Amino acid sequence: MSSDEQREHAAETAGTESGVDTAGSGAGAGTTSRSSADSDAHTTTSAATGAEAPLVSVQNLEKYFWENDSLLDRLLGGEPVAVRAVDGVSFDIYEGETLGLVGESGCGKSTTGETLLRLQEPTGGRVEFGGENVYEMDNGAVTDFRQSAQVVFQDPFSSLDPRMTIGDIVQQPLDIHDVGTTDERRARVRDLLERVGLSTDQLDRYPHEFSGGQRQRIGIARALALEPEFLVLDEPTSALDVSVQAQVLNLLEDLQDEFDLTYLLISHDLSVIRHICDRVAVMYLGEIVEIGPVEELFDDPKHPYTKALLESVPRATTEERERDRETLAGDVPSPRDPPSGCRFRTRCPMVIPPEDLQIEQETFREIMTARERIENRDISLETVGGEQIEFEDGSVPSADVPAFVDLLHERLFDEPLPGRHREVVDEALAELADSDWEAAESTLRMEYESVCERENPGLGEGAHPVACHLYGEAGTGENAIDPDTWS
Amino acid sequence: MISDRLKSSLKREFDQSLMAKLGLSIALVIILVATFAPILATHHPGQTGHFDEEGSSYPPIGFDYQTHAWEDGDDGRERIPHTVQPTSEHVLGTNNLGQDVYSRMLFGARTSLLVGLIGTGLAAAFGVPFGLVAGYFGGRTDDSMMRVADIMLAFPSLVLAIALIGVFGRSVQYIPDPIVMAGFAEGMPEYAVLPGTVTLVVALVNWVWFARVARGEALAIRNEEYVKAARSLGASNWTVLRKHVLPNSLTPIIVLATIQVAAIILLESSLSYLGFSGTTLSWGYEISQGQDYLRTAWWISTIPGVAIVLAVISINLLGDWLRDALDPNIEGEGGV
Ligand code: SF4
Repeated sequence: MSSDEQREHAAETAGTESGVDTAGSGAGAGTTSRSSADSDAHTTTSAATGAEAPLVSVQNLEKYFWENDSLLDRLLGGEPVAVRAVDGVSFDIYEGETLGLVGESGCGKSTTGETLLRLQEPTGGRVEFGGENVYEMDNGAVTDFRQSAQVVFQDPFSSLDPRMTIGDIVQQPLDIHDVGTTDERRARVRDLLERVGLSTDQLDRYPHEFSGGQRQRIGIARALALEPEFLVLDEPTSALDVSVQAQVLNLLEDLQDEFDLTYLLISHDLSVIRHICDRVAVMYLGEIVEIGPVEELFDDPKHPYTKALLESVPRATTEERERDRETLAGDVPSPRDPPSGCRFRTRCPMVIPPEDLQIEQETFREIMTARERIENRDISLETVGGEQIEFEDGSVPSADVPAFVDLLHERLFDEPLPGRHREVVDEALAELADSDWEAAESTLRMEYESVCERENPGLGEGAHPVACHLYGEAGTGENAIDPDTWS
Repeated sequence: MISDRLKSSLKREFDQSLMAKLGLSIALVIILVATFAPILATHHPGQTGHFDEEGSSYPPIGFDYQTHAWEDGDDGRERIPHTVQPTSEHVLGTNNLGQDVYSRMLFGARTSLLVGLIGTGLAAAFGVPFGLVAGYFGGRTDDSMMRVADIMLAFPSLVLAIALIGVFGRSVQYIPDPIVMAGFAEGMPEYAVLPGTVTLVVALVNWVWFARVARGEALAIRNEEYVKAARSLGASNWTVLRKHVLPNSLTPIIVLATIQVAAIILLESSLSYLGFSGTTLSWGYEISQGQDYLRTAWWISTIPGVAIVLAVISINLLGDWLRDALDPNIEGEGGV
């Protein structure tokens, strides 16, 4: 029943896109032709979400890397440090759909892709492929899994062995799994190369003789050789010229329809995601913060991080670009020591003030940023007073404290804080005049501790879950705080 | 395996570099000489007693030297001055035992090259797989394997070599010489002598360098996406090591191997100079023979010394040439 639906869908999309060939079509053509297919794909997917079991089910997947964990480090008594590249992510991928995984670089999306393919062993959680746990498969099952799940990598230069010919590269999967006779393998390689739009008289050439786009096609041909069901596309176009990107994306879409493929598309590029995905998962610092159907997520992003991401998409005019710069301030915190509570709170413009506090949202953000710097000891107190104020043995002469506080206040805030907030903050800053960081921290925490730093909001269930306290328990609307009142 | 690009880059470097030409010419001469030693030699290298009528060693052509002879005079035996003239029979003179230096140099080249090449081959055969496995698997495996290698490196190589020879004893292998066997060189030794222990020992001392280079390469290559791709296709570690890691780490290993031939020749010479070799047909041994006669018969030590220097320098020049030609940074691409 559902497979019929799939086929129909495939035929239909193939129909809509038959005019869009792999070669020579610009990005514009690809995008417009997609939009009609989008709504179609969307219905298929939501039908799938309802009943069908997912093809890939990722449950609480965790991948920590350990630093300072060598023999020598342990002999010297160093504590190993966990780098939480992937920290408990869960999502499902349904047959025939394309799920996008988007986030800034370093957020753990590529590690997620590699770990779910068991190219790296996870530190926790499970991944089910066709109902079977990938990490508990015996050798035979792993071999089957290796045939059904494939990957296309970001860098078409590094993903092809420079010492192998194109023919050998595409044939390698057939050799490894011992598929058919030598002649049959050769014939299949020719088919595959033709299918991805390369000419077969290039079989004996080496990768360096091809352009980036051609190499990526070779990588795709290799991934298809074993007739997989599922492909992880790890930034498949981000190393390519813009003009070639659309061609490769269109090829991937055509192949998906032709071979009933399911995709996990990892990308930091929102336009790529929008072009090709049915649903999108947004990742931040090892966690998924929002999952939803692509149109819904782009038209009505819920999580403040998703909003910030969408707003930072490059705009045509410089004016707009200037404005966008400011939407996502600050650096991504280190995954070695992620923030408590909500991981986005160090940058979130909507970070939630304590309930009974009267404060402007922007002012609160500024205070939270200042608190963050104090907690990280990220202010060099010696330089605050410049020449005028002496800073010796970690403190300022008591006569100079008010001047010191004023200078520090000026340094931390664009404009002096209004009313009572200035008093509270300056009290904390005066404690810094004695280098008493802890006292400053607790003074500020007493007044400004946010729910966002106490509790990590869970992602929850449903078709469009969001991990943010603004949306209350698990995005159900319960305890929800209306985000508009804060903006 | 050898692509056109590699060929052209080798050629370009060769054309541009005088040193490469020099290195290659000398090395070719040494190889030819070592191969055809029985034909090129004028005397059996072991044959003693080639002295002049007064029992003095001949100097090389173009040199003569003053010594003295004894003569029965009125007051019994008398010391009289005597000038030794060179002879065209012995172009490089004869040594203290009256052996033809030229012939001994040719056969010494054989020993040096055999030990150099076989020793390097063995060192690479131990070191490369060791290093590739350590680097490819990384983590604890790498840690413990490379500690072993570090311990080896902590010993001075000569001391280690002598200790190992002490353990294994000295043995030599006789390899039938096809040129002599086929009757092309009457009266020459029928066997080439390979000092087996020394060959094994120099390999045991020098494999660590191969291990380190191979490990470094494997560490880098295992993170290449083509390795991930192969693993996602289901390739076993063995396949990945053989098909991807080894071929892609060959370039620096080849360069290292070239330079190691020189290092091993030098080590072999040191060992045979110290008398640990097991064969007397060796440049190093020859130096030790002549060192008591440096004041008068300087050539006995100096000529083998020059031979060692030429061999080592020429091989190093070859190594530089290969390195420059193969260097992926200059080429701009990793592939060869
Ligand atoms: S939980 Fe708080 S800090 Fe996190 S995204 Fe929501 S509002 Fe921002």
